[in-house]
Amino acid sequence: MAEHAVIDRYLSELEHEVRWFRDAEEILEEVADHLLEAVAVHTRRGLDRVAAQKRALTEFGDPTLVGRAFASMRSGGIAMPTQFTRRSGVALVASSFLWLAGLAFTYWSDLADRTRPWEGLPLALWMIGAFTLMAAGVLLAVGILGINRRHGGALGGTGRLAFWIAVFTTITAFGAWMWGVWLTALGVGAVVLAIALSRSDIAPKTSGMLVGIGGAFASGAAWIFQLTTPEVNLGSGAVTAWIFAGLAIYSVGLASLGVWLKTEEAVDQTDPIATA
Amino acid sequence: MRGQALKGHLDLLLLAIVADGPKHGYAVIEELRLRSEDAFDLPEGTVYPALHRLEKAGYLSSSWSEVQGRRRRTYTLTKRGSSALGEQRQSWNEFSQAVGRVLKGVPWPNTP
Repeated sequence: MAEHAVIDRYLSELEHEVRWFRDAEEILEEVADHLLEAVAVHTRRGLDRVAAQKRALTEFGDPTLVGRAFASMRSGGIAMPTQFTRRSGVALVASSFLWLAGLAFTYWSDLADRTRPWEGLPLALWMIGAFTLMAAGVLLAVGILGINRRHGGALGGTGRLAFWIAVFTTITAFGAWMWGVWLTALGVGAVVLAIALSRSDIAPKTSGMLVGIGGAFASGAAWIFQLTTPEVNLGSGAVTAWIFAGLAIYSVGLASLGVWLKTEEAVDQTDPIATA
Repeated sequence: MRGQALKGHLDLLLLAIVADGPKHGYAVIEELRLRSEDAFDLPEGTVYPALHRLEKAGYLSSSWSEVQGRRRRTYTLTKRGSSALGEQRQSWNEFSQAVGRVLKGVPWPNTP
């Protein structure tokens, strides 16, 4: 459509706005048909080719406005930042801190008294640690839902698997002392989430990589110590340091994903019809 | 007329236009323009999402054909859409008549 260079440019801009919709190609075909018909009508009425194209585009509306109209007039299955996805971003940021805090509390619990972990301060610290880890798991699950919603469900089956692993991690985190269990779940879930993010190709790539690498590192460190030096308790300082390092990387990834979700402008805060 | 004033009534207008026979998007918008005598100042591009939503809700169906070497989507009113249009028409008539009576300033009935 070289003779319709102005229309082509507009369609490219609109494509950028609707690229995440499953029916993006059909939307563009329909809009192209409309615009070319409008150009033909304006040309018959005496406008030259360029003026006719410009008139057609003016009448059609700004591509950003049109793209948002498509987003806001749909429900479910549509990729768009919403107020929910923004809140899930906050959940992810909170989750990133809580994983580290939960680990710190459980380690502190071990330090407080290893021989009588079910009484007094050790028990209180352990309970705080366990519930902090569980809260982190819940917020992670909410965050994954938010990312998936932002993607219009594009995380697909891999994303759903990551969500359910997060739920499993939350449940197992109640047994905070069983690091091998919840950390394994966390590590596997992190890698699955990273794969889902990589496939969907919408979130910042570095964030997904940090989540996957950090989670795998934390989980892997625990298992390496467990397998190579079984006499060393998983709650020892050396193991905890490695796990903490992995979780720190994981948390940075989660937090950056959360910030990304939080800072996007929600389309359901604007009303394209009202602003028309 | 501002787009805001049209909000909430666009579905009814679109269904009414498609009720007269299958139409593609451009024809729907042209008909909207003609019948309203250019009263609605609405970006044309925002009509398409509304058509898509009506289709998703089952009030319209669409089919693709090839016209002048390009693909064209044509909308048709479904049975459900026809039923919804009837209901909305009746609601609108009742509403507009009530508003009309108020605006006419019907005098307060004299007490006997």
